[in-house]
Amino acid sequence: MSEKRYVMLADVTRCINCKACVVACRAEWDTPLGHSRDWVAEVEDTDDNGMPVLDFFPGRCQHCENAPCVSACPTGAAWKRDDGIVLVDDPLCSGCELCVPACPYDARWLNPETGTISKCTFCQPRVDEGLQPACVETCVGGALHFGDANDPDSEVSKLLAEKEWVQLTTEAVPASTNHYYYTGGKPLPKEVLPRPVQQSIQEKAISDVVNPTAKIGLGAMVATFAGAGLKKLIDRRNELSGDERPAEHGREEQ
Amino acid sequence: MSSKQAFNPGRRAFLTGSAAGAGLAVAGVPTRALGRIQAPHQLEKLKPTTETYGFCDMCFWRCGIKVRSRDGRVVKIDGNPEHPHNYGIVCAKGNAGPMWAYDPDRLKYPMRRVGKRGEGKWERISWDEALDEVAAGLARVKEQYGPQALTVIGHGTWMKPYTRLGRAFGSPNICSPAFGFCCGPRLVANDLVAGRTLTGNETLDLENCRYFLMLGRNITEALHNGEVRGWMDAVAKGAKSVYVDPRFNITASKSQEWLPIRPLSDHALLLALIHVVIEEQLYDQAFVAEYTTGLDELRQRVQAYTPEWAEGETEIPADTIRRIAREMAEAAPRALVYSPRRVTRTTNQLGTLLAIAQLNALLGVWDRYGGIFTPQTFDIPEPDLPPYEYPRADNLPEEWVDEEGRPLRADGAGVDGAFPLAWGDDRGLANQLWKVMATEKPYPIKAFIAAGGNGFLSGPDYELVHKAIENLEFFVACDVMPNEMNRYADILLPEASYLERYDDLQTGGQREGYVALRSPAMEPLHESRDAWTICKQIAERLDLGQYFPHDSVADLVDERLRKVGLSREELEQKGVAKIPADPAVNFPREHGRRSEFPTPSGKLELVPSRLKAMGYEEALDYRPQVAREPDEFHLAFGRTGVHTHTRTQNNPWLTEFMAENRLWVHPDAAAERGIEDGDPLRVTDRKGRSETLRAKVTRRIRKDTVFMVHGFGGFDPRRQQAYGRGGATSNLVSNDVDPYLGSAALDRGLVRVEKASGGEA
Amino acid sequence: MAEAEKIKVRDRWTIRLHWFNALCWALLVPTGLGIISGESLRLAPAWWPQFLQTLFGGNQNLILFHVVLGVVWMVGIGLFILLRWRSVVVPFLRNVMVLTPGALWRDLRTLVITMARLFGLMKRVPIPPQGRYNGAQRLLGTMIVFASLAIAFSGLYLYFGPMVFHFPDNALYGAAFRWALVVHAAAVFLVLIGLVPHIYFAIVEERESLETMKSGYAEVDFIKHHNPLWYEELKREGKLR
Repeated sequence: MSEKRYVMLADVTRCINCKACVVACRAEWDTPLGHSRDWVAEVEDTDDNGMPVLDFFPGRCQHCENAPCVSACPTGAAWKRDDGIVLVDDPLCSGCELCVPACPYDARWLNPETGTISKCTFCQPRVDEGLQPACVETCVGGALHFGDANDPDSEVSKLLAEKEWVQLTTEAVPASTNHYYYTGGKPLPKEVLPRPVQQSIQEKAISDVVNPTAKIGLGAMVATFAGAGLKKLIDRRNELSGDERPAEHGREEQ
Repeated sequence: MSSKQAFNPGRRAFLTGSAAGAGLAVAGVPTRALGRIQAPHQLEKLKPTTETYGFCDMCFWRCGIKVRSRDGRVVKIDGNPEHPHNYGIVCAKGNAGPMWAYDPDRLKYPMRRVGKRGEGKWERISWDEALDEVAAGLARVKEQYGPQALTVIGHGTWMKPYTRLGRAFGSPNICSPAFGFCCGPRLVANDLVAGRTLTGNETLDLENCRYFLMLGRNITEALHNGEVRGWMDAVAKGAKSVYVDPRFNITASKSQEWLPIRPLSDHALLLALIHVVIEEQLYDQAFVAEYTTGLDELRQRVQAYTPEWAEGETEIPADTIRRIAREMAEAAPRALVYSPRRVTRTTNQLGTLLAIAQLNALLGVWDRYGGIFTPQTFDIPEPDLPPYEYPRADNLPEEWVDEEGRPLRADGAGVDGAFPLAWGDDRGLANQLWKVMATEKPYPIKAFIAAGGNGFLSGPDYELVHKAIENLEFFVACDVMPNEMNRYADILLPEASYLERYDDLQTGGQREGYVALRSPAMEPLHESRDAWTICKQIAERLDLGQYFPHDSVADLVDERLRKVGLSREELEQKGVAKIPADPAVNFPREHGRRSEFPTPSGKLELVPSRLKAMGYEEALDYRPQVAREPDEFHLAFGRTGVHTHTRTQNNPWLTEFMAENRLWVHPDAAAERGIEDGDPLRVTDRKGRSETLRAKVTRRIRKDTVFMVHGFGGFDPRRQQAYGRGGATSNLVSNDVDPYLGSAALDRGLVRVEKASGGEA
Repeated sequence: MAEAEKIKVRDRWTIRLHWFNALCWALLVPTGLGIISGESLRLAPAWWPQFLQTLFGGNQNLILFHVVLGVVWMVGIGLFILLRWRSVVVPFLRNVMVLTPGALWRDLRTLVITMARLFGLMKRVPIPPQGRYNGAQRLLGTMIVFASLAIAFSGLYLYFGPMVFHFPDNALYGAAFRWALVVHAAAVFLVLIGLVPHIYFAIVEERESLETMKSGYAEVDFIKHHNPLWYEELKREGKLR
């Protein structure tokens, strides 16, 4: 059981929207154009003096604690490692896309080349060899940090203690993630908040119709026939105690 | 018989079983609450790659990189954590480097023009044929006009072999846009005041600075990786940044104050700041007394430039100007008046940059933490080469030859009577050179070797460049990519990209002195060859092979390195060798040492003696620029973090973020013209030139100004991604001149904007 | 009492097929339940797929096992259908398949009365005379035939679909997969629900039929009592003494 908890920290006050992280990720994972495992969202606002305000939010899979994608995956291709990283076990992925509407951050997509799901993996193959994620390493503004939050000496632990970091969560979704943001105290703009978890109609069919029907149906069947068996047992006992020969059940009443 | 038994164990078993089954089913009901399962999984493994060190060429900052390849293919570019330009950071363009090498539209084979120049008809020829023709063409021109009739225009490290070829040929007209179109005024101004330059290496102690006055220095988008990081570190530590620009860009968004200055009035703001700093004695008095001359004279000169006066020019409130002067002085010496890099804006950039140098001098920032530091350089001797011979020219006007009758630079850089202040080294005045080529004055330029570059999209005047090219008798262009200018060449030579070749060493000055090696991470694609080899092979055909004595540039590099006890092999292991930073050397005045200012007086000359010797004191005065009609806009142009000039618009890893440029227009101005966001616009200047691009309606710009990112508007269909995308700044900017320096004044353009009809864009 | 008279009503290969089918199901159901991992889709409690996937060293292996078994099941049944089409399969289908509304109604009535009588109700309501298979058996059998086809084809697509089709090429491929999952699960659960009475009657109510599925012989009296229409048919065919 791993004791690590990998987290990514994005300091919004330092992100300059240079897109280095996006290109680095594309190169590292051979992502086809038209898709990306990460992105930077631009949010424009006005301050109290009427001056423009610009903030940039680096985005990617948030590696949620109770990841809705993991919950929606039939084969466990979507799975969460003990150290917090949510991964895609590629041989197990059929490309069914049940997980895609489940992700409140729209971080998952079907890779047109591999036919399996792609998404940010916190650069797990790099991390497992002691390297930093590609986006973190390349970040020009010094906005991104990554490390083990369970290690008190790690950079991320110190940063988490120093400043107030928030997660991209709403009341609806999800409980907790492994990605934090520092906004310098400003509230999170609604543009970067997650949308509700959605289910494909097939997932709904299974979780709301097929499974409950199966449980109820099986339960009812078992209960019914357990009951019938019980009745038979009781009848038989009654007959025996009445000192009659055991009747041939079911043959009398034709 | 058994089937008639009253009750058999089977039934009991069945009952127990069904009870258990019911229990299981019940247990199954709340399964959703039990959470995710844990089971064995396959993990992806990092695929092995080989690493090669180099330095990037996607922009001019040239960060140190580690290039990862697999099976001979470059897959990822990482930063070299040791290189002082970037310490491991790589920007979007650097990361997109592989798509430069693998661009399908690249020049692939040597080609000869068929049909007229610019028609775009080519026939493929062999390297030998091509090189023979180049040598023959150059030789003909030399024969008929003299070697000075050759110009070599290029940019950067890889220009070095072309420079050598041009000088070996005997021409003084080696030129790069870096001075005349970009940094020239800043180099000269600092040299005049301090005898030192803020070179391309930006020797600023950003991370320790406490106050930045950014004069349109869009550091977060006109990216220099190490520089941005230092600035961001300072801002994160609480440094104040005041960003002065007609446009609210990303740097403005990270700064505490945005001053939407009226375009072209920076000099006025600076003069008023100097006025306040002097009048209120906010300057570093001890430093000024010891290290500067000319304070009184300067005080006189700025007497009239009050904040109130400046408010009229700049539209920045006088109180703000006073406050900023005081804030800067309080933060000094950890304060910087931060000039942009491309300072070719007005017809008095010399004055503007002198004012910046004066203000920095008054605040005492030289050689102090948070200010301008003294770099160290790793000096590596050049290889031993025969001296260049510049033959006499008997066919030139007298003013254009030196005492020995040898031709002077045709662009007038460093030439008395022309532009003596401009540096006449390998840079010169590219803006003037195009005029020379077009007019054949002072003397004709008949042969042109283009070492990359794009005179159309990166110059201010299509007509001029057309005429210039028309006048040529021979034009050879060497480049990685086709572009609007090399479309007009007689011979096209495909160059190997920076990922495919060795290059001469990169040396520079930061706190650390360093030398970096570029080594190839992949074989040159198609039939491309590295620049050094191309030049050597041309030289040999011109009997100038003695200037390229090495078999390859790899050998050249090795020879140079051995002179300082290093070797190419060694440098291939780490990419860079350094002289460690030494705070006592970098910040002498923090360590009880003296600052050195190699001016005639040995001090910072607030009113430079050499300026007076030239009779250019009037540059110190403010000169109003253009008078805008009410329905006109100032045309501002600049950078974005995802593109470099005109180079990257064909790179799909970058065009995904910006495939075309848009014209930034204020909502009020847009409303007046019925313009909505995304509408195609026609932008027309006073000369009647026009460009079409789509509107970006935003409050983030002054109402009297429009802005566009430079580099778009490509009209060469060979660059398929870039073709027809956006509008060209080069067809709208002014082509005026700073009369003191001869450098360009590009920001004086005035344009009208209207919705383009018929949906053209 | 005299030995009850018996006749052979089922050949040994049919018997083997039945037990082959049962065995396959006994393995396919738990493994299938062990494959489905996500909480939203899972029927089994979490510990079951966790245990099984760990046991098999990963879901890939478990899935492979399930699929190999599934293919063996399909091949087994397929071969039987091929080789016993005329002699067993066609007659079976004729006797079992509920294909008209009239038959459906009749069989439903039989089912309801039978069920009621288990609880001492409807004792006086006559059960219509049954053929070789009674109403409940016919309903179950029909459902199992269709369900088995659905399970087989949906199962094939679930495993081989992603290999054969490049899902990114067409949104229908993925949609078909997701529906195949629904169909596969629904059909399996339907059969499981139906298996409860099937096993109950075989073990508790009509042990004789279980014996017939083991020996192939049925008591003539049983047939006469429970399946009178079939009894008449056998008499007509001269199969009775």
